[in-house]
Order: sequence, then C-alpha cells, then structure tokens
Amino acid sequence: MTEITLDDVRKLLVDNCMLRVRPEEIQSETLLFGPGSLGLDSIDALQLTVGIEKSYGIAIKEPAVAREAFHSVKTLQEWLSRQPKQNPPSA
Amino acid sequence: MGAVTPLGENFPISWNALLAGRDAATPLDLFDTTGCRCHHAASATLPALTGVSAKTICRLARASRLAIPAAREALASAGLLDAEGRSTLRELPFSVATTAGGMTFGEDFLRRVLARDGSHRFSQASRYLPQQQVLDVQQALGFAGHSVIIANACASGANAIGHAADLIATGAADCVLTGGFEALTELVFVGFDCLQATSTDRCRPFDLNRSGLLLGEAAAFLVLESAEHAQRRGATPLCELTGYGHTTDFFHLTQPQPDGAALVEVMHAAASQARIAPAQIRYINAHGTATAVNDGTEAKAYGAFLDDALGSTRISSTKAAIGHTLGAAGAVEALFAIAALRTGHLPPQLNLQTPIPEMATALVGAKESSSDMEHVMSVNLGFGGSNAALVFSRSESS
Amino acid sequence: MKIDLAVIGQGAVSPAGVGLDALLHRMPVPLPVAALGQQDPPWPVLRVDLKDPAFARWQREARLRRASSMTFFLIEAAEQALAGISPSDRAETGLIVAFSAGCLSYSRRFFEGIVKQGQKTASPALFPETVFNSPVSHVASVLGLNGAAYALCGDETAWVAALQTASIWLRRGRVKQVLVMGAEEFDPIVLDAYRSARWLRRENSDHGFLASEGAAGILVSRARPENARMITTARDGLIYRTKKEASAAAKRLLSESDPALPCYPSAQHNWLGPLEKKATQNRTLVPMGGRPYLGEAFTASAAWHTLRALNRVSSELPCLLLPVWGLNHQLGLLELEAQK
Repeated sequence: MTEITLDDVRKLLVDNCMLRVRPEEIQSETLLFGPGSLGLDSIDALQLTVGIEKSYGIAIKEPAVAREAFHSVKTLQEWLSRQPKQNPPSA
Repeated sequence: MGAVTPLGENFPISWNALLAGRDAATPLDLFDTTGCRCHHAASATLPALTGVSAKTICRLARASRLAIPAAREALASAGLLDAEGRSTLRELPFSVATTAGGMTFGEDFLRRVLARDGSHRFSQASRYLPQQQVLDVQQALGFAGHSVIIANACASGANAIGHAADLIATGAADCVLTGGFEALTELVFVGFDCLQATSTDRCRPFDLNRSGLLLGEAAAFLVLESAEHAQRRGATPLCELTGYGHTTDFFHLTQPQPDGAALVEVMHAAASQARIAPAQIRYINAHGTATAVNDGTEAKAYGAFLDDALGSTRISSTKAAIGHTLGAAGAVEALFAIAALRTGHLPPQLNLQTPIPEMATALVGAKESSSDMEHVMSVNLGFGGSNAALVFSRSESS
Repeated sequence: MKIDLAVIGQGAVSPAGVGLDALLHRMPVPLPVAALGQQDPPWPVLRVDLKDPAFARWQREARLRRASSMTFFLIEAAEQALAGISPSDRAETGLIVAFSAGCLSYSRRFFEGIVKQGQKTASPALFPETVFNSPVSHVASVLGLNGAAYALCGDETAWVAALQTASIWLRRGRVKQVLVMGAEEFDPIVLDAYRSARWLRRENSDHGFLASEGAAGILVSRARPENARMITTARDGLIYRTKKEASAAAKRLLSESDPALPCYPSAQHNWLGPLEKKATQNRTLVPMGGRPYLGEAFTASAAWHTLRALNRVSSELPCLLLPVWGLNHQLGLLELEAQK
C-alpha cells in the first residue's frame, strides 16, 4: 500500500489546482467539488489525475473511479492509500 | 476566395472533396505523439511556393506556407493579382486570425535552450510570432498597409472577417483581404490531448457517441470590398456579407453556458443585421467540434434560434472532414458556407451514426442540395467564450 | 485613420508600481533574473511586484485562480481605468487587449513539462490559460463588461490596431465606450532570446534594453467631456523586414505629419533608437524631464508611452505626435490632442 498522508494530499491539491490557500488551512472533511467545497472544476479533475500519476504513478482510468476518489480531501487520501504502490513515471 | 486545407491545395479541390464525403484524418507524422492518447490529425500537404526564393522558403513558418498560397488564390480569384503573382493593390488592409502563429519555431527554441548546448538563436524565436507570418504574406504578395491580427481562439476567423466588414461599413477601408491561418503544432496538439478533448476514434459531430475533436490545419482568405469599390473596378461579387454578431460567453473558460445563450445571441445579432428571420437561413455551417459538451449546447442553441425551422434549415459541421483548424476555422468554414450558397450543394455531415435527437432532422445527408439558397450562416465558438456568427446572402448581381 | 477617441479613464501597472502616478513619477528598481538556459550571470530585469496590496483582491477571485500574472496586471489596470463607471455602463463597455508574446510564462512551463517529463503528464490546468484571449475573457467576466472582447496580437503596433478597432466599434454603435489595453508578462526564456540578439543591457551599461512587464489601459468614448485628452489619428501599415526598409519606413512615417508638431521619443534603448533619433532630428522633441525608464514590454510599453504622452498634452502643448516603433513588423503613429 502507498503511504500517503493528509498533508501529502493537501499539498497535491494546492500545487496542482493552484489553490490560493496554505495547505494547512484545508480541512480533511472539505469537499473537492460542488457547493461549500474547494470550488474545483472539470479542468482541476483532469489536472489532479495527471498530478497523481506524476507523483505516485497511480493511473485513474475510469471517470466513475475519479468521482469516488475526488469526493473530499479525506476520501482522496484514503483512496490513494489503498492503491498498490507504483513507481512514478520517469521522464 | 482561396484556401489550403487537409482536403486540397486550393479551394475548388477542397470543396469538391468535401462534397464527395472525404475525411482527411490520417496518422500524424509532423511530430512525435507517443505520449498522447490521440495519434491522428487532419494535416495539409504544403503547396509548392512560386515567386519566393529557396532561402526565404526555409525561413517560413509552416503557417506561412499555408497562408501565402491561400491568400494568393483569393487575390487571383478576385482579379487582384498581377502576372508576377503579386497584389495589384499596393496598399491592402489585412484582417487576419490565428491562435498559434509560428509556434513550432518557439518550441524548437525552447528545446535548444533547455538542452543548454548553445544552439539557440534569436532568429529562430522571433519568427514564431504571428506578425511574422502576416509580414510573410504581405511581402510575398507585395502589399502593405493596415493590418490587424485577432487571436480570439477558435472564433478568431469569424471575428477577422466580421472586423473586415466593420472596417468597410465605417468607411475606414474599401477593400480588405481577410481570413485565417493555422498550422498543426505539438504544443497545441498535446494541449487538447491532455484535456481529453481530442478523439481516439473518428470525429463525430452531433452524434450521441461522439468522443472529441480532430485537430486540423488550414489557411483560408476572402476579399471583402464595398459595393462601390467592386462596381468601380467591374468586379462581380460572389455574394454579400450581410450580418455579423460577436460576444463572449462568461460561463467558463473552456465550456459554454449549457443553454447556449451566447450562441443564440450572436445568431440573432447577425440575422437581425442582415434583416432576415432565422427561418430564412437555408444552411448553417456549425461549429460542431464533436466534444461532449460543445455539441449538446450547440444543438440547444439551434433549437432556440430556429424553433420550427430546425429541419428546414440544414446544418452540418465540416470539422468531421478537415478537423478543427482553430484560428483558420472561422475563415475556411465561412468559405464552405459561401460555396453552399452559390452552388446549392450542401456539405454532408460525415461520420454520423446516431444523431443527437434534437438535430436528427436538421443534419445534412449525402448529396443534398437546395434550390432556394438565399442566406447561409457560419458560426464559431472558442476558448475564453468567444462566439461569432456570420450571415452571407445572395447578391443581386451574383 | 481618424479615430477621434476621447480618453475618459486611465490605468497602469508597471515595474514602477501600481497606478498612473507610479507610471509617471516613480523609478523602478531592476532585479537580477537568470535566463532559462542559465549560461550567464543573472540579468537586470524590471518586474511587477505582485505582492503589492492592490493585487490581493484579484487573487481572491475564484475565476482567476489558475490565471497567470498577466491577467492580474490587466485586471488591476482595467479597474483603475473604469473608476467611476457604473455597473450598467460597464455592461456597455467593450474590451480590446493588444499582446505581443501573450501568455508566455504558462506556454513555456507547459512545453517545458512536455520536454522534461513527457507528453503523457502535460498539464491540463496550464493549457487553457496559454491562449491569447483567456486573460481578456477573465477581465471582462470579473469586471462585468460587455461581451464585445477581442485579443489582438502583434508588435507594439498592435496597440495602434487596438485603438483603431475601438474607434470602429464606437462608430458602429456596438458599445458605448471601450477599454483599450496593452499587456506583457516576463518569462526567463526571453532573456535567452534577447541575449542571443545582443539586445540586453547589463548594469552600468548604456547599450541595450531591460526586459520588462506590466499592463496599461485607457477608457475611450466618442462623447467628449470638457478638457478631455484625445487621440485623434492612428496610423500603421509601414511594414519592414530589413534595417534599410525600417529606415525608409521611419522617414516616410514622419514625413506624413505636420513638421511643426512636437514628437514624443519612445524608442529609447531598443534597436530602433538610432533610427528614431535620425528620423526626428529636425523635429522638436517633447521634453520629458527625468522620466524613469520602464524597460521593454512591447504592447504594454506602447500603452505606457501613450499614457505619459497623454499626460503631457495641455494648453501649452496642445498637440503632439507619438511614433509607435514596432520592433518586428511595422511602424505606426498616434496623434494626441488636448480638447480645445
């Protein structure tokens, strides 16, 4: 299993989605999409998919899988942690 | 009119291939696409360039290799080209569109800089800017004067033509060369690919199973002039540009407002400037990129604009045949709409298997023609929400 | 082309600071920046300070979350130019922005990502923001402007084309007023380019220019408030490729205008400087005092020069010429007047 912490996920979100908050300001229960969320959109979803593959070598191929994983900060961290360890793609 | 497209090295060849139902999608060999989802595009064969030295040719961006012959053809067909292949008008306003200009030169420069081998040269970088391609056309065809380069993403070509009309309507110009040019480049290709906007299947505009766009490249120009200027020089117009509408959809940078309100607005603006009712438009060349979001929204917009006339107004997206040519799209598609107006032959909707129900009765089938072509429309939408519509009408003397 | 635009608003963002006052009076301080290829010591570059408190409100805008710095330069300068314009009038205000390199920083980062890490992991967040008209769309959307919005590109003369286009829109009645702007953003890649052309200046040198960035704009209308400054004429179209052609174009450009009109010199430290000097040698030059050097930012520079020149026309200097020295396409010219 890949060890990915909530702090890792916060940083992933801030870096990839160019969020204008500090990682430590993001609550673990915060939703990624929809009302009262971080306000991400479909481009952020694509960017996160790319960012996750770059950082962890984990590919998200199905939109349904992405929808499940990208629910909240915590669900994303839990989903990522459940994936088999991969090597990130080399240049 | 003049054009170089993936279907042919001039407009008549492209038009005939379009009517014959040819689809220009082929495996892409201009640059490596190994890391992309999509590996095909609609690329053009570069025509031979006459009247330009070999030394100059090797400095030309690919976009200029498309633009120069297309502009030359437009001037020739307008009777404004001399025996040396140069414009008879030494001062000729030029209203032109592109999105990426000579981007490949910029890509090459950046690669060399990153390689840190000292091989980068400014002369490589400077030619990537769009004004360099404009200068290439001006110098190859021997004219100077006012120019404007509009970069409104995929609506640019329509904006450039509409702007040319505005120049003439306000008396700022009598005669304008106008259109757009775009060459395939790796940066843009990978850009659309990483957004998952390009299809790995055929390009199927307005089809329930559509899966994205086919990228293409082209250059297309027309000569627009005032009635007085045409009359003075004894030129017979092909048609008249009677309406232009443009606005910006602020809903999202890359997606239209779902009800298509911005497109409805520009279609009404263009029709009302042309003083016609929507039902009088016999054919619409659609934007129809075959992405999931665009075509659904566009279909709603046609329903709202045409109402009961949806069905009798025929609609097709020629992007299935030549791909999405970005900055050239608005121009080349306007030319297709004009050719439909003049000949009565309608470009068929290619690759259609299961049409969106709302569009099923409206999409052009193979070998369709119409005998009462009075008015046609061409529409384009782009990133940033640019929306544009042009109306062309039969002219009394054409 | 007679354009007869009355200037009813002005806004600027430059390395000298935020606002017109900074543009007119403050001295910017160059910062050392390494070229992307990093083969030389760092070069002095003039940068906008994005930590200026003025930008904080724009950095909170949801729509601008992924936007590059150029959008922030533009929106701040736009808001200054729109001061006092009501929301309903904003909805009748068009926007035309002239760019030279456009969204260079993200374009470079996007393609650098492809070169170093492969096409598969290219960034979807960056690509849409590389398109020329994305900043235009952002600014018009956030500020509640009309949907009439064009991105124009070219060298410095794209600013002239933008003014001409504004005049066309006003004559067509498309909008009630137009915000005309110029903007550039810096990226280290330009240092590699300019260095190889030997255009860059080192500290304590007189030769060459400093790379720069920023934005500026003017709000123009047909309605002429009392004491308005006017841009009456805009000319472009004198194309060139070689130095010889540029020289001939410069001669022709100035020969078309009233020889008695003073001329605002703007080529400063770029390669057209000597040409400007020669072409204007028989003319009165507008004395500009110790105006701070703002560096080379193409369409933003053209807009800055126009603002500075506009703020010089007065009853003592009722009319002047501003040649626009396009660095890689053509030459142009503006005539500015104080309203009588």
